[in-house]
Amino acid sequence: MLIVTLKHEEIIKPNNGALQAWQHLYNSFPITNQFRTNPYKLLITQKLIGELNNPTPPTGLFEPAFTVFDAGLIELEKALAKGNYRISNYLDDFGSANAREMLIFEQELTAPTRLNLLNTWAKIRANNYLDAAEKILAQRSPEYLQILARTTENTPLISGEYLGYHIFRGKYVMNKARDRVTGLMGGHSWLAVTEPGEITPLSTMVNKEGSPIYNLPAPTASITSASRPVAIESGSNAPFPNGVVQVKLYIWAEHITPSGVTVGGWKLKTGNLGETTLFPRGWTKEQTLQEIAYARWKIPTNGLHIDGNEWQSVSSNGAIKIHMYIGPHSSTLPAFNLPYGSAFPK
Amino acid sequence: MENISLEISVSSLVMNKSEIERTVRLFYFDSRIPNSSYLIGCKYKYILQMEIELKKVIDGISQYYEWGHERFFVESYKDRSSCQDPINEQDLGIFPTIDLYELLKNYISFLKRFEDIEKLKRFIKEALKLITNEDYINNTHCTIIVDDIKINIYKNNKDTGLLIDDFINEIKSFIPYQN
Repeated sequence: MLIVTLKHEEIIKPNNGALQAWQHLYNSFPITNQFRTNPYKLLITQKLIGELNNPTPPTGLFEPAFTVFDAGLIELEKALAKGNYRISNYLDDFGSANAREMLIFEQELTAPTRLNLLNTWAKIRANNYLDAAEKILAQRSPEYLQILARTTENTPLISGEYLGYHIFRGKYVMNKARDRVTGLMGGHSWLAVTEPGEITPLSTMVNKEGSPIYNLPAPTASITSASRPVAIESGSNAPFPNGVVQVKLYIWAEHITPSGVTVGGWKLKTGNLGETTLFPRGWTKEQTLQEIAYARWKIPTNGLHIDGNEWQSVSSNGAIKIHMYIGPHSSTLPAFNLPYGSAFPK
Repeated sequence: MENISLEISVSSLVMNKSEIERTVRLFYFDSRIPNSSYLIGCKYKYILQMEIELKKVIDGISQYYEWGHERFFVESYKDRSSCQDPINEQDLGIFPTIDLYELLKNYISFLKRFEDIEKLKRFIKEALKLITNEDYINNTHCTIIVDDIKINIYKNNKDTGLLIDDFINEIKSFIPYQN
């Protein structure tokens, strides 16, 4: 087994690009754990790349160097698999507890997770909608990328649905027999609103409990199992200064008449008398999810535990409060991989 | 009333330009009814409306009433009410409607006591005076119990050095009075 021990200088000197990248970072950003660790990772990886006869030189700035770093990770994995290298030898030379923690963190990730992070990084690098002051900081953070991957991925959430459906379409509440849509949850985006105009629901019939069925006006959007008309109640639109809008939402649901016939009719969104908040108009799905992930990323430093599994943090421009239900009821900080229940703006 | 706990929490969030947004929340916890504390997510005026409408069901004026929050959604009939957490797709249980009406009444009674915001601020200020200045300054989290109400103060790093009067005067949101 080959064990390589290198001195700090030996790693820096042969690689001016890496040194420049390191100096650039130290000169440009506050010395936080986040940025202190990245140059170490970069240097270690580049050294490994060199030793594996793949000397792709960094250009000196962080972004291209990060690409090299990612490629280096793959090479590092191969090397580790062969048992040729011990990361701890390199880390001891740097003498940095932060670097040690970061590399331990990386080692704990499975290969698919690492690949997922790389893909997530590539996507946000192409379209990063976060505030200018925060976007690069987030994009370079393995923690943010991990949360963003969790926020956008199409795997079951607490209730078994995709966060995207919950926010951009709304979750349909079903009756116990699951043969009728009886309400709407979520719907925190303008994309969830299908009706072009606001509506004033009117009733010409009652349900079996004697309550009015708001069967007018007829919806304009088509009714399918995957898509239901959703409308804003006329006059309920209350904009906040930060771009968030509070509205009352209706879904076209199914009701039972006293004679047992199923008919369509508008039904207020479930809970809170139909009132909900929408992320700012014009925010795309990608932007909304990036901002939710940003807020979740910031929970440890600027988040509040509200109650149960409800947490509150802020958007990247600091203007919008974002509430999130995450994982089980707990007041301890939620782990990156815990599923969402919902996320909505204030 | 050992199942009931009342809490006033004050917490701070750093918004844009390092501006602090400090919020007061008035929680009502009833340990027998899961998730009922999520009613804080409903506006005060709606909580008042829910009590009126639920009373109509109990009195037989209405047959059925749906109310609550997306984490505590209730379908009420005259005698029994079914509680759900639709976000987590959990059945929270079936309870006598009269118990849920009592829950609403008690929560409203707690809220009415402090609906005068200035009175609420004075109450928190007086509570903070019960701890030493050193404890107030040095701790990011303080809990004070007054009249069986737990007052939780969660301070942000940006609150460091802020005098009690300033801390209280800079509260911007009062939930559920102003959601």
